Parts: sequence; structure tokens; C-alpha cells
Amino acid sequence: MKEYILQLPSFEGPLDLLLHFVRTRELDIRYLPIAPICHDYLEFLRACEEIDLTLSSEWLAMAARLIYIKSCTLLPGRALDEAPGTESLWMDVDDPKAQLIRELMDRERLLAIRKVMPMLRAGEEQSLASFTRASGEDDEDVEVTRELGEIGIYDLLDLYRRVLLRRRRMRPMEIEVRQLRLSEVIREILSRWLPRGAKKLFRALLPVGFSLHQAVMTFLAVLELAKMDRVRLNQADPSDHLVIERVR
Amino acid sequence: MRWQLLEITGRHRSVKDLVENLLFLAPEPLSLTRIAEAVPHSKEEIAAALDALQAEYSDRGLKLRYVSGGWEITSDPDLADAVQEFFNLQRRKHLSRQALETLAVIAYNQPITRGQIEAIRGVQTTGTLHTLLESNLIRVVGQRDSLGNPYLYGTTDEFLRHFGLGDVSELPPLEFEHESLAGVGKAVEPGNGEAEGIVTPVEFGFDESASEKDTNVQQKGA
Repeated sequence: MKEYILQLPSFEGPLDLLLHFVRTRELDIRYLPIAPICHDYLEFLRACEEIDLTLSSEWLAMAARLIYIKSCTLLPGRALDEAPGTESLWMDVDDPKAQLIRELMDRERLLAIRKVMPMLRAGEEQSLASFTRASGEDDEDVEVTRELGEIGIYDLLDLYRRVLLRRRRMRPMEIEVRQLRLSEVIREILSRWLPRGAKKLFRALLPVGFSLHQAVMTFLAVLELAKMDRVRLNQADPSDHLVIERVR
Repeated sequence: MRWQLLEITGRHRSVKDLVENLLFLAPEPLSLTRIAEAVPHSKEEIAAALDALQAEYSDRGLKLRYVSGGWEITSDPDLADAVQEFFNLQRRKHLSRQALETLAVIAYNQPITRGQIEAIRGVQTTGTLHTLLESNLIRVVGQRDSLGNPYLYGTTDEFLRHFGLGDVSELPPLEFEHESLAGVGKAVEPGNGEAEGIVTPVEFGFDESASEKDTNVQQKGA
């Protein structure tokens, strides 16, 4: 008895479905004629409804998007042309159709990349399994099992006595914590670490082996300099690196 | 170091032996240029020697591979288990799926900003980027000349070594469903146009001696 294997395309989301339509209708994704896409998509939704398949809200949201884009193209005077050759799509950042095209292209890129990932994995495995002469060199866990040999109880006592003597000679040292002055730190930053026009990460303003005290003082100094309008603080994103730029 | 080589017939043979010895002792992959610097032979002779060696090694127990722009003798990966056991070696860990995907997106689209990476992947990548930066598999290669001046990321030599690639061009080619995608520009920033001017922050003091092949912007799969 022959076994029939049914392979269906799997869609992770509405974008995948749209890409499927683009593929089957052989459309040019750069210019994306919205009417056939919208039609196919709504048909799909209707079919899902017929077989009582409930789709999550993102599918409905996409339907609304497509209908909106289509409605835009039907209005007179809009630049959303369907004809190929309209590169202006890329220029209008708020253009919903252009936005959709961009999302589709990004999705396509990701799928293409996902397809090659097994190959990258294989290359990685191969490479990780390849050792060089240098691999055996710095052995961090060297097991030291040295035989103690003949040591008697008196040898141990003697060692202990010497340790006690040495200890008596040691005196606790006082390490002085030098308090930094904010004005000093500011001066140091301006003259040494942050010349005019320089843009640096906060870390770059700290000397090697800095103490917590230094870090805190440097931070306060940066805030003070920002207040004085001598530096500008830039951050591409709330979680990105903080860049300090000297302006005056 | 002066090399006094005997003038024997078949100069290539002695060059080949010399190169092989250098590769054996080298702690890292040696590029053609590097070998040429240390040895009184022309690049052509060395290249010929390397070709000959490559042919020979395809039959041997050891492997000779071209990785991150240089040549390297390694153990046979098929024998990794035995070798590891004997020398108590640690195999480096392979990447998580997230890290691999992010890294692949960067590799095929470099230089690329975090925003673009996230647009392609559809998920946050801050944590993964930090991991990849720490492992020295990617690095900041510049800044985009647009709003917020976001950092641009690219792959490193370590990346090539990790995957056993000679060069970024050795990445498996991407296959696109649509012909139209193959030639079109890289991932675009949401709300932006095509990639514009790239600012390299000289003031940051990034390692400028890093070789150009690290920032190979060649479009893969194009």
C-alpha cells in the first residue's frame, strides 16, 4: 500500500501567507500590486471561516491593513501607483504600502537565512571539532598531584612555628582612600580624556583599574559638564551605549 | 631569521617543506602575505607550495584548511572524540539558535544596525548582540548617518574561524524565492530609505588595523 505524504506550506504569520501569494501569482515584490494580494488574502480568511478555523488577531489586523492600502490606491491624487517604475515608494517613509513591502522583504530575507542555517551549523560543528597544535597548550586545569614524601610530625610543627613568627611581624596596613574633588575630575576629563570635538563612551573616560569612587565621581562630573553645556549626551536607544560628546 | 636553503633541483619541493613546517608550528592561521614576509621566496612560489600541500593533505590524517584569510593545519574533525579524550581538550561551545540566527543576519547584511536586525528577525536582539560582541564574533564597524546615529555591526576574524570560513564570500549563498529580491538593497530601517552614509568613528579609537575583509560589504546571495 503506497504511502502518500502530504506536504503543506506552513505559515507562521500573515506575512508568510502574503509571500505565498506573491510567489504563486508571480508578482514583483518591489511594486506589489495590491488588488490581487488583497483578494487572495480575503478569500483565505473566508475559507478559514467556512471550515470554522479561528485565526488570531494578527491575521485580521493584516486584512485591515491590506484593505486600507487598497483603498488608498483607489483614491484619486495619491502617489500610490500600481504601475511598475514608481521608485518614489521608497522615499515616502509613512507610506503604508512601502512599509508592507519592506516587511515582506525582511521576512523573505529571514526565511532565506533560515534555510542556510543548517549549513552554517554543520560548518560550525566541523570547525569546533578541529584542533590545532595550539589547542593543547594552555591547560588551565592541570591536575597537581604531588607526593608529599617523607614529612614527619616535627617538620609540620616547625612549619607552623615559622608561620606564627611571620604573622607576628606583619602589621595591618592602612590604605588611604584619597577623596577626589569634583573640580579635579572635571579638569582631568577636559584636559586628558575628552579633547574638544571628541565622542567617547563613558568607559573610555575612566583610567585603567579604576575604583568605584573614581567611577562615581566621573559620572557626576559628566552630569555636571552636561549641565554646563560643555558636553552632549547621545544615546541611539534607551538600552544602547551612552556616548559623551565634547562641544565646548 | 635568515634561511640558507640548499639549491636543489625542484625548488618547489623545498619551499613546500618550509611552508609545511611553518604551518605546523604556527599558533594561528598564516596568510600568504605573512609567509612571504618570513621567507625568501616569491608569493607565486609560496602559492604553488600551498596548492601542492593542499593536494597532499587531502589524503592525509591531518587536515589543511584555509580559514580567516590564512592557512592552518588541524586535526581531523572526524577524530575529534578520540583526540579530545586523549588530551583532555575542551571543545568550544556552539552557539544557541538565537545567537546563530542573529549572527547570520549580520553576516549576510553587514554592516547592519540593531534596528535592521530586529526588523528582519522580528524579535529583540539586545542581549544576543552583547553575547556576540563579548565572544568577539561581531564588532561595531561604524555608525549610520541617520537619526540617533545607531551603531553598525559586522563580523570579525573570529567569526570566520568559528565557522571554518576562509572569507565572508565563502558563506553559503542565499536563495530567494523572488528574483526581484536578489539584487535589491539590504534590510532597510523601518521608516527609512536605503542605507545611506556610514560614519566610521575614528574618535572612538576602534582598532583600525583590523583587516578590510572584516567589513566585506559584499552582498551575499545577490
